[in-house]
Amino acid sequence: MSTRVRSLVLLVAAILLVAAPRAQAQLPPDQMTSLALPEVGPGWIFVLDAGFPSTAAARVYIVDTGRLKVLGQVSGGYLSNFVLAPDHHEFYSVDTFYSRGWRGTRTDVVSIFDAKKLNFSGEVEIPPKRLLIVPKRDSASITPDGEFILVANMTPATSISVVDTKARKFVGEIETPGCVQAFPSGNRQFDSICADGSILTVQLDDSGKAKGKTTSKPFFDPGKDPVFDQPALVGSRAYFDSYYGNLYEVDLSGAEAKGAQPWSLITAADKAGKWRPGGWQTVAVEPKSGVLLVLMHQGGDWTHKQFGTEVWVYDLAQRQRVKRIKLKTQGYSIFATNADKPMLEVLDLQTSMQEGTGQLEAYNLTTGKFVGKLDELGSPFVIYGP
Amino acid sequence: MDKIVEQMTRAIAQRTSRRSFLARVGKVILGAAAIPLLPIDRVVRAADAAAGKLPKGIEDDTSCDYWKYCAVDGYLCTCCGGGSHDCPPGATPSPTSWVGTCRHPSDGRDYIVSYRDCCGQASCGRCLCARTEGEMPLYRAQLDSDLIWCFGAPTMMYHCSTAEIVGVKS
Amino acid sequence: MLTSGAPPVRAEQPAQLYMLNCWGCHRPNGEGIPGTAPPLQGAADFLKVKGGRQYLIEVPGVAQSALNDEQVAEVMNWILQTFSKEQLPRDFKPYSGDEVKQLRAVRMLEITKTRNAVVAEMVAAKIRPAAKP
Repeated sequence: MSTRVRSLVLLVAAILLVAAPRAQAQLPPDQMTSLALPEVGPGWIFVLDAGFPSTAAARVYIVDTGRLKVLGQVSGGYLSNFVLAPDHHEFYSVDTFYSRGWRGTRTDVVSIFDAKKLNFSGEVEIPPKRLLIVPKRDSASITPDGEFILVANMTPATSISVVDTKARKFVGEIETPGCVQAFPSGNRQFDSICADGSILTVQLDDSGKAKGKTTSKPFFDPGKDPVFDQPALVGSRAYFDSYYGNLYEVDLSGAEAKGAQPWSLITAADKAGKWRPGGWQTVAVEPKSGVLLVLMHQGGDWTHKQFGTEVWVYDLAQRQRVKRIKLKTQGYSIFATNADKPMLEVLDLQTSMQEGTGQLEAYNLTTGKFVGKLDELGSPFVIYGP
Repeated sequence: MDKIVEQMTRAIAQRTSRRSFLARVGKVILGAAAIPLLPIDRVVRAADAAAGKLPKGIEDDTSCDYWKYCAVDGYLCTCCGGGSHDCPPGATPSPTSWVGTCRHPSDGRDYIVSYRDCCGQASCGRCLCARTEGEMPLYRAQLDSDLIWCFGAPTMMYHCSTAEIVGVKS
Repeated sequence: MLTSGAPPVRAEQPAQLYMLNCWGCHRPNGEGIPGTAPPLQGAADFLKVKGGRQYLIEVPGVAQSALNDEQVAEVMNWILQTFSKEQLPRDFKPYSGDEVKQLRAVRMLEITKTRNAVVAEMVAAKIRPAAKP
């Protein structure tokens, strides 16, 4: 018998064997349940799908980056934001809903989900004026102790709505004239970035009301070198990358934010090659390894939202580039995890535009090697960490 | 005014896109920088137009390359039943907008353009056109095109994007 | 249906500054949008009471605009003279770049409170009617 014929005979035999009814192999009836999540792991990330092109409902995929597997979903509304309780017992989706889907009365809420069963467990109504934008990470955030959720508003006048998570109550609204976003910088403190390049620091009392406001000196010139508005935040330190490839570190710990002297992410040769940062969530920090990651592309002025083709890795202490990671496709948002080893997570929105589904790519941060991908993630814009 | 002029100059230095967002991305990477544009390039540019060197869609208001869309970010209303400055049926022009300028390819003038969203219908989802010339982060909100610019409209439900000429820069 | 109201015109310098920086919310003739952007028509009333002259420059949209001090002065003077001619005091002293520089350095942190205080002055001076309860 030739090899081919022998294979065919074996294949037919195998099919007959499988298809033959055998009483002892009968499967028991299934018992259908709802699964629960384990504890939030250090290798988990939360990927926000903005819901394009319909925008009717955003959602957050809970992803185990170690296995590149979706573990569950937090369902949202119109251009929602995601917030994770620091002690991981609850997830929050900051939502806008119209009473009849795309029409009717607008209601804005903080929706609360328990982190095990992902059951909806309540909501806090907030003024129907939250910032509606293609989702950006710090449009909603939470104080490090988990007591207060901060929601950015824009009418276009700007303010922050404060929600008490324990009492599940809307506390009030804090005006942040000319300043947007809420970077939590202490249990009773947050910062907003202002149109003139300064930082507004707001201090809260124990009830979540504003106790004091301080404006810093401008730490960058928005007219000359605008910084991206989704900095990497590590504790109360913010790392802003800029349109022209500079890195601005800002210390948000005190009552007045302090910007450090910026340093350049690009050399003269990089500049000649038109390398610059760009994308959506363009900068990340992996604190354990002390590295800063920036999503880079080659392009001219005003290409700040162009997809990145490489991620450049910098030693934060030395302020020096130590690695260039070439992406398999192109990245729009980046994040670093470190469960057992440092990893780079990249959202590729390009495939979303091309095939209707975006994907996540994982790279070993030490070797720069591509590890794997997870596709069919809708229109993924933002990555949140645990 | 220098800064504004500079911004406007940059604003047209990068018209690159085609209907397909993906094609646009590829083209930005390969060719955007190949079309530098200074104010004195106006005549050159007009000559380019005559020689057919400008993007094919520069006079086509259903194309992302249409001259007036130099900073549009969203679904083109012309693909949704509307016009370049008209909302599709059932949608309402937002009374608020962000404002920039685009240079007309043949008369060389810089027109002041209001990027007005049409609001009150569900997302149209057609002809995504994401051009970022002059676009600023959220802290300069009046120049941020990712915002839902339906402030003051009956609802904040975004449908599609238009570009309305409101003046000429002298 | 809402329309832009103003036909395309070849505008003069301050009018262009207005178009590029303010028009998007305050509308072609400074009419504003209730609940969204305050009207600039009648804004010269602010000049008649305590705190009003500062207020017009210290509001974040003006103080933190991308315009330089001279441009802010120029466009604000134009706004007052164009959209609020009737309310303009006879002895109106136009803003100068230097004055703008000083005023915009002050950060307005409580905009509603500040505005209410100025409006209360206008009500007391019978320039504006008292708000309905």
